[in-house]
Amino acid sequence: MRGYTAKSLCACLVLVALFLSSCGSTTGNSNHITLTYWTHTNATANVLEKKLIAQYEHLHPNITINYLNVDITDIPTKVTTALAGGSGPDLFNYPQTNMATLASRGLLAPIDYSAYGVKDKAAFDALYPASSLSGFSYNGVAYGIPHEVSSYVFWINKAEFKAAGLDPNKDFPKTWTDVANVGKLLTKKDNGRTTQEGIELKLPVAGVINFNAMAQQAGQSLFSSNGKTAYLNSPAAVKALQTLVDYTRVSKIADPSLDASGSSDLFGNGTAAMTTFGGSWEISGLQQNYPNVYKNYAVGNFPTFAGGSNIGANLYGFGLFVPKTSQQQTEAWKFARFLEDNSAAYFQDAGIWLGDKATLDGPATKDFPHWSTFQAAFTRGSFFPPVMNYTQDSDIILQAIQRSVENGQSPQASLDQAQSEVQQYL
Amino acid sequence: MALLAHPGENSAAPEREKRTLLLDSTRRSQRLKRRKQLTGLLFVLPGVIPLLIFVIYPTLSAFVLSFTSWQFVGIPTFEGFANYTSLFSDPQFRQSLVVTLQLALTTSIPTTLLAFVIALLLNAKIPGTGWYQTLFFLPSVLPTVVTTIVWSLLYQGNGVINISLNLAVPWLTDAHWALLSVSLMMIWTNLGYFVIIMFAGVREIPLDYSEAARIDGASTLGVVWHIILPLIRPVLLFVVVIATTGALTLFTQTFLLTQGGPAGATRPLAELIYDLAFSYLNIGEATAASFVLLLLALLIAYVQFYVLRPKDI
Amino acid sequence: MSTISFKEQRFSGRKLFTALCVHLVLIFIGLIVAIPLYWSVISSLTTNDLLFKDLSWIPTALHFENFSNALQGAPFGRYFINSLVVAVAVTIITLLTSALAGYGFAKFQFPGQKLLFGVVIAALMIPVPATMIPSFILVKQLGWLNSYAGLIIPGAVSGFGIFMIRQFMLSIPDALFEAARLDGCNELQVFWFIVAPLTRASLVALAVITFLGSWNNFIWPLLIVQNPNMMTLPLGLIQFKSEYTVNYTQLLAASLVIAAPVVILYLLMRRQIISSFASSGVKG
Repeated sequence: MRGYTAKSLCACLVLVALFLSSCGSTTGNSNHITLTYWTHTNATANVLEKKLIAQYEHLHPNITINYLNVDITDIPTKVTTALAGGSGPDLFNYPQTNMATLASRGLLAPIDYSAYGVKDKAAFDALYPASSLSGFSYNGVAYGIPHEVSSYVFWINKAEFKAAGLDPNKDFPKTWTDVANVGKLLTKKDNGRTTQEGIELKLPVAGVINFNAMAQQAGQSLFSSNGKTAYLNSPAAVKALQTLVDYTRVSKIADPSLDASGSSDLFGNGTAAMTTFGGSWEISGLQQNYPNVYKNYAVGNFPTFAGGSNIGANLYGFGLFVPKTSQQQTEAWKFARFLEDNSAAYFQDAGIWLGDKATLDGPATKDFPHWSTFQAAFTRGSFFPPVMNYTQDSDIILQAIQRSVENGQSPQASLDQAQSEVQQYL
Repeated sequence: MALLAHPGENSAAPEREKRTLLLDSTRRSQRLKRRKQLTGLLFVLPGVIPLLIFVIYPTLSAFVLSFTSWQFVGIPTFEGFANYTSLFSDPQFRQSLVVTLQLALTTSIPTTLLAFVIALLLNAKIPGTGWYQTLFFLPSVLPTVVTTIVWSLLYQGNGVINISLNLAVPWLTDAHWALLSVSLMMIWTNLGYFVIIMFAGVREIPLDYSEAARIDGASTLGVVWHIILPLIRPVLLFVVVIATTGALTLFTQTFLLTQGGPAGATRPLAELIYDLAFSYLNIGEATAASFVLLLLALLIAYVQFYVLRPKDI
Repeated sequence: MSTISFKEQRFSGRKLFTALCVHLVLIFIGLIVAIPLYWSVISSLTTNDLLFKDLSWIPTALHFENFSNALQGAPFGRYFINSLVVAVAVTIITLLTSALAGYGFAKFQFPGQKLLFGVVIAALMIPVPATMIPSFILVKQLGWLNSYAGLIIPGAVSGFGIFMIRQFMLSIPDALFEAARLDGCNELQVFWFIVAPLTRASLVALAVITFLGSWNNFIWPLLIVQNPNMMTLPLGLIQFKSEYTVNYTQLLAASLVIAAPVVILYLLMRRQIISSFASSGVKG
């Protein structure tokens, strides 16, 4: 018994070690190319992409695509670590706002137009409306293929409007003051607790870009158009923040405590009667998960300040990028082209607009419910200014918003603090 | 035996032989001691070597990086203490430090106390305590994502806690309440983990000791204070150090529950480090902050090791 | 006679009272622990519609299909195997190295001991985000990306385990195994046949904790895995978190299922932890 245990243990360990070292990725032959493509999880889009990948592999038998889905909050971590380690995907789908961070460090490869299959930059640009392209260049160099362009519109719950004695058409809010007025009638409380919220702000997710849109409407965007100067404590910004504070602390039509992390869908489950959070993709989400509200929603233009300019919510989106670490850059751009050519399928299956003209003017959008509202949003809005350190900046801005909205600090003081904090990141 | 006096030697011989005896036995015990030392070292190496390779080596790389401003491409450029000074002048870093210490206090002390009390109770020779043990362990088993979703549900403005107790407390969206809410969730999550360890420790104390004391007329409290506590000092030290370290290096739960909000009120240092490294791509400051945290943790552990050092019974 | 029976009465009365007190306290704490657990289960059996809105203590409808739907969404079988291989390997390696090293630190003196033990403690306190990138680079250089080796070996030895077993072993009187040494057993035999069984409770506790840690580990697999085939169970959960919506009920259902094996392991090991040590007491 004694001799057994030690020897058999050693033998086991050796076997395990052999097993371990033989597991894992295998090397292919020299002709065979493996492309790695990372994107965030999105049930419908992922299903479509798996189909497209199968098609592409069929058309190009010497290419295998390694398709990995990563949760949207984790993808910056994974991409960052991989690039820092000198290894990364060949193509990845990444938030447009984070592009400048990578591009400014020389981690991205500029678009290779000939690999992409177009004659030159002009030919490429002709495929997209100018507003789509504006978010995917940094310092004059184009790095990203637009792979999702979206904007927010304003949503209301018609049933809750009617229950409050409001007319969903006539009383649809056009200005932020309208929102406050109808909001009061739509908010229900029970001993201090909010049982129905007038408007869902989703601050942790949409707070910063909606705040920027409101500041733009009030006269001054939060940053200059080249992203190098900050105007966080301008009178326009203060006015925008004051509006949010009014909603949450004065008229109390919005209650952030209902959703601290911004991950619940309060409009979808009927807790909130209105929301500023939602693009064209929201409709299929409602249909799938929240059938009640799906029957009762209405959309309209993002509200503005009274007498303010016709500016809507910010555009935001994702792009396909090729990192400099990729050993297969040409093949990566070719694969990107293949995905983009299927933009109509993306729209039909996943409700995502890839930002291209073909889909925008094509037949797919004609039957899309309320498409005119969504289309208008794309012209009324613009991308967030191309700041070099978007994550730091947005953290600073969100904290300023939370200091005023949740902790009660005055908007001017809060924004003054943000303005000084942001200087080192410009 | 062969070292006893030889016939024919002078009277100094016994002295010399005694010394030789002594020397030989000292040499022998030295050899024994050396062999024992070597054995100890050999026992320890299979554990320490992988630690050196996979933990200490990356840590040293990180330490070196903390003196650079590496932008993820090319060779890091040496910056001296620039990262450290910019950290300490950053109000967000200072806030994180405070939050970290607050969280460490509010989670580790209650957790340790509760775990100890529960372990004692479970150790009582009373039928039915087994079920409790399994129950207390369950929160530790659930993946973080589950505990944060459920606690978000409970802490919601119109959620279970507020409705059941007829309150309107903004558990997660008020700077003061948020810290308490996070602490409560952490205590709940980690309790079972520490109960298991404490229970194993209390169990190891031979029953004869406490039996003997009780027959001698000691009260339960006396048994606890004079017998059990001293005997589980090493385990207690372990739990205290681990609980404090865990609290100091916490980040996923706050990240998921409150995202460090509102306005950084629940953003501990480890979460700030994570943000610095992966969102802000500032590896130099991230690693610098890590070393500040490491120093802090070592300092606190040193104090704990001192306070709970083994005392002779 | 009467004195004895009186003492007996008092004894059993006090025993009952003590038992009652203990149970009361445990029930009280137990309730606080159980309520969120109850809500975890309830939340997995409702619809996304009601989850953050209208959930009541007694649910009106139980949606067991959340569980079957959730598990069909992805190749959880494959993830389960990956998780199992990694967790078992890590647990075995951790137990071995922790027992050996814990024993060495606790019962031997050698030069450099304080320093080495300091290394072990320091290893515990390094915040995870700090070493993620250097560790990734190291593993990449070893060629272990996207492999079992990369998933198992870097985390296989833990300062936690070494520290824990050392502390438990410190509580064991040397006398218990000195006898074996004098009898001529070599050190390994003393360790394997005497010392290790004495710390059985702590080793089992360490086994459960290590298995649990590996089973739920998310961050390291996130960085290492480059191919869906090598994903572990926690990574498999992300498919419920879409770009804009989270399918909470299915996410919760899947998570509860994932947690089940650890609970089973714990129940199996529990008897080991609570087995009595009356026979190991030292006489005199």
